[in-house]
Amino acid sequence: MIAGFVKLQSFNDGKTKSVSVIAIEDASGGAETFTFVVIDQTKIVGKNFPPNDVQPVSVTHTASGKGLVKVSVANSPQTFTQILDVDKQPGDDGTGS
Amino acid sequence: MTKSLSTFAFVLSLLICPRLGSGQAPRPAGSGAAASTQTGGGGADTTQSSSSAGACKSTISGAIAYTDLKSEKVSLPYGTAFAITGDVTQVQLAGGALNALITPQSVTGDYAASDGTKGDMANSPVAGTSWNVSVGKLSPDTGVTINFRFTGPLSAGVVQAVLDEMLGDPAYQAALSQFIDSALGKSAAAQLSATTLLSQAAAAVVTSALGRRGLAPKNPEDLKTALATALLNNIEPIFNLDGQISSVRNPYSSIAAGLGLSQDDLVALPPQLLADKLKGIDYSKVSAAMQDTARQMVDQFLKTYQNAAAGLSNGLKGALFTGSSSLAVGSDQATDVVCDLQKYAGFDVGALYAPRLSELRSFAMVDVYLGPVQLRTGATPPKAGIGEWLHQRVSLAVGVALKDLSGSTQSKISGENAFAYGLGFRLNKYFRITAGGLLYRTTLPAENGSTSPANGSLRQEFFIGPSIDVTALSALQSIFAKAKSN
Repeated sequence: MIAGFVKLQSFNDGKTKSVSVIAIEDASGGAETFTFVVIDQTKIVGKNFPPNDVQPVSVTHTASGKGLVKVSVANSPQTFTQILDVDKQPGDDGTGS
Repeated sequence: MTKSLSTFAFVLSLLICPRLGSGQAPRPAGSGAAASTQTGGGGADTTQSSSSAGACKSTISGAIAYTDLKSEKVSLPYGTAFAITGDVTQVQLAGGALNALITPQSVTGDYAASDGTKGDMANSPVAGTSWNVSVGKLSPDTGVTINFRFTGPLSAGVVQAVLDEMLGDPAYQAALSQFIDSALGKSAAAQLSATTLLSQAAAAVVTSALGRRGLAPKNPEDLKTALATALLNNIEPIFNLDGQISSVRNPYSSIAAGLGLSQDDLVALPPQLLADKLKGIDYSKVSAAMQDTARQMVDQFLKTYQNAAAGLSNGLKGALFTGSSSLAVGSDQATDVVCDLQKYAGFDVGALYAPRLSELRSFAMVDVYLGPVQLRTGATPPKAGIGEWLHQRVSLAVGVALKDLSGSTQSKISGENAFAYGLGFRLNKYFRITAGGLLYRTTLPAENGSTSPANGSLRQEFFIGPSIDVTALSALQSIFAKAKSN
């Protein structure tokens, strides 16, 4: 089960936009299903986590502007919501602060 | 006569000696003590006591030190305007020290005395850290509530404290939830109106937090607009801070180990203190699997916190706030702070007893003090010592006896009149004991048909008796009194 999220941020290299988050798995490990709401788009992605693993999870999207980005995961109360400007051009190290 | 004088001296010593050491008694026992003395005395003391010029410490320097007033070390003068002076470091507001909250630029205020007198204190600039205000004339023997209002921009440290308070405020948390519920999943354009509402709610929380510190905006509407605009422009770091704090506090992040704290202690840290501690985090103590992640998390949080604080500071920049400090000094009769009325004399009525004549007579008497004295015997005397203590209490008394009260059918006093002279000793604000000599012309009954050769001669007898100073009564206090205390 996912025990926490860290550093939700947005990337835009001029061609592809994405958001990523670092997910912390507890001692149970296993397949996790993440739901990203990026402004007005919803993206779902799955990933396997060994016990106590810490991994980045990312999705691509085509949303634009500045607004709410939320990540949640099935079977865990953990969520992480930030306001991000998903259009920020790279060269940037992402947004989130 | 010799016997009369010794009796008088004995009685006077009994009155004086038990209290010789209390000449420097703090401010008055007030009316309660006076009342009990009155009951025992059986009369009313119309003493017009007062102190000599300088009886009030406030009259010595010409200006009242704020700290002396606050600690009730001084009395305020009456009948004349005066100044109160202080340093901004001495003033406390509801939320802490004045100079820790704002940088005062000016001070103003108002005051209200217990006798209904009210007045405003003119606006006065703060020079460096020193300030002073002018107070108008007060009446003697009253209490005063003084409201000081200091105005200036916020101090730097306040912004971060207010930011912390906003983040933990239930109203702000509710606004965050409402914002997420209404904006999530909508287009960026559609989220803008919800963001505006969040900014306005945050501005209200910030204003409320400042109010709890005793700070009110000088121009509330201007601040509301400026703050809401600044928060809207900086809503990203301000909103994101809440989630990033949760990440840092997550027990799986291992941040507590890096700070050498328990998880509970970490969670208890307010954001500002958390940011300060995270600047010195020891990543080697963070679990190996989390070290890189913890470093990214901390860097992001510190950057976000700095941006949020800068955004809020920008919204408050240039706004002037007023911090009010109310000082109630002597709000009741027992703790009056304005100098007690200074009197030169008292007019007494009472009863005197002449033991050798076995007569009790009413009399009217003027008691003249050896300089102005304070009306209340408990007021702080201008000087220490037995001499000053006596000065505040002893008077020269002269008067006339009026009428026999004892029902004597064979009075030796010719007519109803007799001249009285002696020393008065004031027990409190109203009551006095007077002892001295009674001069009268004799009327002696004829014996065996012959009139005594002593008949019609002038004689003197010792007397003693209680009296009331009628000029201590509030309506008559100004009689024999100084117009102002200095």
